[in-house]
Amino acid sequence: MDVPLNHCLVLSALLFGLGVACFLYRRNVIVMFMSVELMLNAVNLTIVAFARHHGLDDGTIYALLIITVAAAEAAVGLAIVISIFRLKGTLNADEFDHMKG
Amino acid sequence: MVIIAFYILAALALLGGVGLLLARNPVASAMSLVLTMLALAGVYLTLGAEFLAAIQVLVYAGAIMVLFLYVVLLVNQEKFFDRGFMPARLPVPFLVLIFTVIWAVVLSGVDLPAPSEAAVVADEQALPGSGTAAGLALFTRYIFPFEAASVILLAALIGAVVLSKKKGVK
Amino acid sequence: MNEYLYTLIPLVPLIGAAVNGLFWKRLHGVKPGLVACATVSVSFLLSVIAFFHLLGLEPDEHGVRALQWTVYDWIEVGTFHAPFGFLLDPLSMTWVLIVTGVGLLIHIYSVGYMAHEEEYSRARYFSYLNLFIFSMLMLVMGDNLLLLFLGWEGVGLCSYLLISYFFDKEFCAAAGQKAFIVNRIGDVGFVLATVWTFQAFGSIAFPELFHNLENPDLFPGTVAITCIALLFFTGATGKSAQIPLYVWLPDAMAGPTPVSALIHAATMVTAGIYMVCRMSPLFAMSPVALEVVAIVGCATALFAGIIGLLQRDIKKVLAYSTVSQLGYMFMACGVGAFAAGAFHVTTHAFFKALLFLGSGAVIHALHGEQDIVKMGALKKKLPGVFIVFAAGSLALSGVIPFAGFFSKDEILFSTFVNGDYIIWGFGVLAAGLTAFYTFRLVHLTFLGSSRMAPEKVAKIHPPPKSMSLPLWILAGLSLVGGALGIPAAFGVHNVMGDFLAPVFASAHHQLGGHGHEAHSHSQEFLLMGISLAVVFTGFILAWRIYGRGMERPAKLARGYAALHRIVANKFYVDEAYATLIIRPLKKAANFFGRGDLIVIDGLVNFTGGTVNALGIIVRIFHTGVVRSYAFWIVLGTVLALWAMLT
Repeated sequence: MDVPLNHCLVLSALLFGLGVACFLYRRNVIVMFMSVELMLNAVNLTIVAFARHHGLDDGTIYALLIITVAAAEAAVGLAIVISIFRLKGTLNADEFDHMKG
Repeated sequence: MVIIAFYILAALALLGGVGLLLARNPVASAMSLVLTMLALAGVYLTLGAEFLAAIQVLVYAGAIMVLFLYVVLLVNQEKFFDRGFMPARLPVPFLVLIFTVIWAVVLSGVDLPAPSEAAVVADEQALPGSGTAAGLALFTRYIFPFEAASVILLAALIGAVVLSKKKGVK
Repeated sequence: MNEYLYTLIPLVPLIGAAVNGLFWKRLHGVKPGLVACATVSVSFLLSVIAFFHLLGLEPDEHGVRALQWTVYDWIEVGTFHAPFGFLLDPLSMTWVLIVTGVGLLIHIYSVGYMAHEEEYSRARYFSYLNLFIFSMLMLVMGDNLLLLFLGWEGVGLCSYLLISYFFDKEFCAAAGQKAFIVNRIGDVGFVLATVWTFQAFGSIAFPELFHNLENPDLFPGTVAITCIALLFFTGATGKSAQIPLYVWLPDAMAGPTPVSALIHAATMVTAGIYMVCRMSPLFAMSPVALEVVAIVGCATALFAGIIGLLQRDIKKVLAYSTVSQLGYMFMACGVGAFAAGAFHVTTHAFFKALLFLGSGAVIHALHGEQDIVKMGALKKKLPGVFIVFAAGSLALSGVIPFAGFFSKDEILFSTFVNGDYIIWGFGVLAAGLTAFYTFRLVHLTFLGSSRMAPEKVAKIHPPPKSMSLPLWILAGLSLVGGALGIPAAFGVHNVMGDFLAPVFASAHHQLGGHGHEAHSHSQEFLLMGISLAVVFTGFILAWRIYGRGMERPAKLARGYAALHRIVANKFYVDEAYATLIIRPLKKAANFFGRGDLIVIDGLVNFTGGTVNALGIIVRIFHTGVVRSYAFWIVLGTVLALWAMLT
């Protein structure tokens, strides 16, 4: 029995929504980063579901590349977070308002 | 049968997402996200993308999330606890462990979609979703993105090293 | 000789102006005066050659001998053609010879007069002088109204530049401005007339235009023609200093004396007369316009003559005298005797330039003194100057056989013959006034007893060769120049009249011209006698009043105190203009200036303020906090998706 496409899409949408909500709600920059990863995962799921729906296996490749990019982004992003932490001593995103005005 | 497994795994994924949203301790958030990753790997399995599921566990859950955990634990102090609803003492990691067990059980007990007859017969063809198929596609049709991805990883590597160097400033 | 060569006549002085004005610094050791005189000499030489060339030509179908050539098709827009072309017919030839000839003499004189200026200023002076020659030649040699106007404006500009040559002196700068602005007022009339002419007759090139004038289909009505002619004349009143735009000429005496001689006596001020003569076919079609010209000319002659009676500055006397004589020339044009007007221009150029240069010699010798009341008995110290000055004065007053007699007399005779007896009467009266103030001038300056301090008298030295040579040449011309126009009454041909007759033939035809030959010679001799008598009366009256020191004039002044004051103050014309015209204009200008400040600056500031306000509003969104940015992104995305999907 196959998994219907709509189910996958609903799951993906819910996960993405959770990711957005988490991003807007939380103040800890690392947690915000993690919510971005969650969003990326949701997108991955969408791609795989659609690819399977069309009978292609290219979805796997796209998802693979997205994972790669997500890895790179996580590495660099976390390096930046550490630098900022060293500079400001806080992980509260609301306190980084140098660009105000 | 697969549908039921799918529903359970979906519930686990959503649970992990909620945990990410509501946990006050960043470590708890990270662990919840690991649960989500694992659940999604299971979903890929139900969809027939075995290779991707393996990669998801290995890379995403096994490397990226570990990196996040490293960083979280590096700056883990009580004052960095965020707002949220979970009780602070909730032992999230244990819960995650339990849920992971559920995950494994579910996956092992289900019949994953079998590859089609036609694909098995012809040994030139690779099974869709399998590693062979992915490899074939990656090194023929998607060679350019593959190379580009390696460049991105290189750049990220260098960038991360450069950025995290201490410059003597506090 | 190819006529294109004559393009050099105006071109060479232009090159000289450029050399002196722009490149002088790079050409070390070149004397500006030398360059300037050289260029004008070349022009003069070419003019003489052109003159003989012209004499040798065959007359065309109108009987006019003319050289016409186009150098360059300047403006071709629709039906409007303004080529860069030249026309040398007897009329322009006359002016060209005067401008280059007298101009050359004045250039030579300037070398001596301006010797004490530093070399950089001299370069500027000679550059402007050459530029003036160029402009004046363009004015008279152009074959269409636009080129004439080009020269017209050019001479106005050079006049301004040269009057305010000593620009560090406030009154010189102010005089230059006054000249330029008053000129400009006249120019409005000129431009309007040009445009109207084109609109009515379809062309501004002279041969074509005059051909179209004779076309009855194009006749726009007498009123239109009169208006066009009067508008042209307005320009002439500005340029040639007639009532009401003469006020700039006396002030223009602030410039160096050679400038006064060249521009304000011999050439620029005669541009108006040239223009009227050139447009004579047009003027001939409107008797009303001609009457106006004659009346204005006569009134100016008289008015300026009266003012000149009591002026104390030697140059101002000559300035008012110039205005007066210009009035005579317009009088001549007004009664249809255009050739007589041109003749008087020629003789006037000779003797007025002579008088100005002579006064320059006096001022130079006296180290800057210009008040004749403070002079006297200069005959002993400056005998040569006295002789030439006397010659010029006799010519100005119109004493036979000097040049001025023949030209002035021809004008008066033409007036009489035309039936304008009142104008004739006033003209004769003005001649008497001319004689009076001329004698007064000569006597107070050169004769009688000295009213100068003895130490000043000792320092007087005669003028250098560069200055005296032109003086003698001009004196000679003043003496014999009359030969050009000896009337037929004496049994000889009127050389100038015959030369110019073909040019004015169509005008005379329009007016149903009376030839001079049509009237009896005895009438002419009688009128000559009357004017001579008036002249001598003027001399005698002047001698009686000023002959023995200043007591009699002073007593007369006290006796007629109010009248004396009015005349001595030039009838308060400048003051009247200042109150009636200049002050309201200044008030209006200030009003609009303030309005500009309020309105336009307000608009600009308002725009800036609006942008500023908008910026303040937008700044609300720039919190610097990532989360708020994320919120707005999400909100925007949702809205966009919603819009796309519904």
